[in-house]
Amino acid sequence: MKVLMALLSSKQIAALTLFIVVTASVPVFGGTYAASILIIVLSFIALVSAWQIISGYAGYILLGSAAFYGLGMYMSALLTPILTLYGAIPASAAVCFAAALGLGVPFLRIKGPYFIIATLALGELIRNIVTFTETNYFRTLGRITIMYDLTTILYLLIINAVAVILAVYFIKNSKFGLGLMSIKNDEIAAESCGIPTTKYKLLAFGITAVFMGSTGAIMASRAGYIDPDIAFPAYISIYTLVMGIIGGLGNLIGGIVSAIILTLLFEIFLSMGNPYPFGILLGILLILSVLLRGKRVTLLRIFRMQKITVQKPLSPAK
Amino acid sequence: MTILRLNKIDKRFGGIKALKSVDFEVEEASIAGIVGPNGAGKTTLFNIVTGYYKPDGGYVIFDNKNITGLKPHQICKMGIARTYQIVRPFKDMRVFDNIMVGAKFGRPLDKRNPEKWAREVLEFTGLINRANEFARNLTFTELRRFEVARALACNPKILLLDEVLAGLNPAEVTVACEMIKKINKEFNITIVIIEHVLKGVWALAEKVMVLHHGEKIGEGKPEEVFKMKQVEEAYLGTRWEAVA
Amino acid sequence: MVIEAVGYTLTIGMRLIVAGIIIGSAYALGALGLTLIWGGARIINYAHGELVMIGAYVSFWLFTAFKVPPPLAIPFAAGVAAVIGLGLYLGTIGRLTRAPEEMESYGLILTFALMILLSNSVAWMFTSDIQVYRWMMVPIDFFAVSTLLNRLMIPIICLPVAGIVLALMNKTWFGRGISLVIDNDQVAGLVGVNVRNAYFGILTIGTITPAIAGLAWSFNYPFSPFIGIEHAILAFVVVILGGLGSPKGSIVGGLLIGIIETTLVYLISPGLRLAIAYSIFILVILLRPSGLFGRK
Repeated sequence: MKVLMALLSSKQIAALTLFIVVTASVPVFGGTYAASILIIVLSFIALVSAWQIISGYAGYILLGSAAFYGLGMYMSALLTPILTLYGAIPASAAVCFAAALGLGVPFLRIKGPYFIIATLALGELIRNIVTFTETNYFRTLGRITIMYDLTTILYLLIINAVAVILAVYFIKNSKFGLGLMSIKNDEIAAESCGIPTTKYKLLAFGITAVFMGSTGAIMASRAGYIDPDIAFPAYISIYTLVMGIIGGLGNLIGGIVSAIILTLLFEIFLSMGNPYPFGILLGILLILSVLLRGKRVTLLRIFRMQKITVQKPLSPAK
Repeated sequence: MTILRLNKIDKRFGGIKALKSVDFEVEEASIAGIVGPNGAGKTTLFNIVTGYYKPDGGYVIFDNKNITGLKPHQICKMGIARTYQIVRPFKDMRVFDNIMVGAKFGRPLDKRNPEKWAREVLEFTGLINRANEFARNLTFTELRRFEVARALACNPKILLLDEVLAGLNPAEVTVACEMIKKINKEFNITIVIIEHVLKGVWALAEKVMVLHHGEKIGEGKPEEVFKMKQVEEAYLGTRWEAVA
Repeated sequence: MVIEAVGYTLTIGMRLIVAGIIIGSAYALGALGLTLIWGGARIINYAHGELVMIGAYVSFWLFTAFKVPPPLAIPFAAGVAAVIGLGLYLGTIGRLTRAPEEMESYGLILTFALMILLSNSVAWMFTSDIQVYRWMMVPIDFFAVSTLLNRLMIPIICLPVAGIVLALMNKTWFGRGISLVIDNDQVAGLVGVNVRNAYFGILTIGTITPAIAGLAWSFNYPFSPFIGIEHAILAFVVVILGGLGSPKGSIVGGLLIGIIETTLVYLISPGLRLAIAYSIFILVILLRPSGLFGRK
């Protein structure tokens, strides 16, 4: 606590305390429905904040959040019976970290738009492989998970979200963060300024995966039942990216705000029984955030678009 | 004492020999020049020294250590910094943060404070009043100085400058040359400078190597190299007026 | 005994190749559009799969509502795709400057937004249910390979269309202008090509071809508003394999992917069809990003 006091300004501590108090009191005053929506909001806050590390700071736009989220879910489903959820969360996160390091070695050599498509393919690939193994070797499509009660899940997700936010905040202001931002701007120049780019990219990818995995691990015990379509849905990858981009690449607060607003909007549309207008709205918001970047449009000012720098892609073959 | 020694460096790209058995030695605290026409292999040589390319033959000795095959960031940490012919600023970061990258990730600064050192570098290169500007907003000449500043911030023992004078007007060239000399004298940093034409390094370098089609065709003091027959032939008809 | 075994293998091989070409011709035609837009307009079209999906839905709608046979629906599918493609392009990407930096970063986010927008719009109109309709589903023997007539209609529709596009590219002045723009738009402008018109041509062809491929797909396999991602990734595989901006490469690549896919599916398991395609994609992007036929 003392360390936190020294590193954060009093305003930031106040904001963080307010966040914790408000979210933690929702099940007390708001009832089950509000709590169940808050759970989704909190998981997206964690996902989008974790996404900022590899995409917002290091510039590798990840469209495969579902891969780590789902891996966390499955590891949690497997490990919770042995370790309880409290042991399964860090264990799943550790597995995700290892997986990210292994996958990162080839994937982080892919640049620009290719990285985006490749990570999209990765998420879909893993979903297909898990479906295949489950149906062919385990003769089942889904798995029953051990459920924990709503309040426990909610408090775990609050702790998880606060941990990601703090981690991302400290990374941003650290030497590591400076290195990542240099990589985003110009990887070659970063390397020649003495930044161990490969190591930094891998570490950033690993930390992103840790928090996506821990979020998935907690959500597994909320779901009660998981199958590949629940664990690796493409919409997790897409929404995380959209929230990150609308909130601003590398903009921690912007990402959190857009996660809150967009998740709530989605829930409103869903409760009306038709989620598709939300998708249309999302597309329009994304288009506007690109077209109106830099302009002073009141509604979109919190969604301030930052200059996007992606890694230089390969030139087309001639 | 020799600080950098290139020994029989070979480099091929596909079937093309970019460098053929190039030897070169640089004395500590000196200024050396590498000149040659386009495609002579000058930048390739820098890329080999800084670890971007692995040579197909030969080795690089820096500070009595064989650095061939090390990664670029390791080489930077050992004390070789470089600039790029086409500038590569971290565009969306402030000038000060750009310089801080060099100060924090370059060769360790012993007990000096990185922020103080970054400020010192900015003052030295005359960019201190632009410190809070985003690097993308710098002018062309400022960017040239900026590249040198960021490399200097890496606290190198040896600084490789790739055509830093190109595109500057005569007055700016004079200022830049003064700055390079001062870096050499005040910070005691060895400098290797690539130039397209001999004139560029005439006033600066104590020793010059001329490359042509990847081969060393002359080496010595600028005025000696200038008189060499083969050097004359390499340039004749293309850049002779500019050289003379 | 040996002869029988060889004969058996040959029959199997034949069957796989025919099946591969059948499915590959749809991949080829779809990817042709992607490679043109990518190479020519420098836009990585993430909404590519949505164009395939829209082609499928136009055909489905005309068939179920008005009994229009799919081949006759081609002009409608092409028209709808072209209007959507050009309209959305003008409203969004056309507003960016043509600086490659902007195109690469913002362009891909815009097409990504279009992807979300289009799939959800169609889901709103037609629900997100998986749709199937039957047309020409009669067994037929083709080169000793027994298949279904509707399967055979895929190459019968796709290959001539691809041929027409290739002929257009190679034989007409307008098409050569497009090829020049793909090669180098600045030089193309200097030698008198109307670059603006060429871009419109590229976008029109680039949006029409995936829609026609989707039309051919629709009376063979089930589809939903969210099949776009799958088709987009498959098209990316083909384009990367064939080399960006190379129309011939995308056709060869499409057929090749079709054959590889059917062979691997036969050897391993049908449950891994997409997993195989995605693995091929990731491998190609890692090992040979400039494509099999692309020059570096």
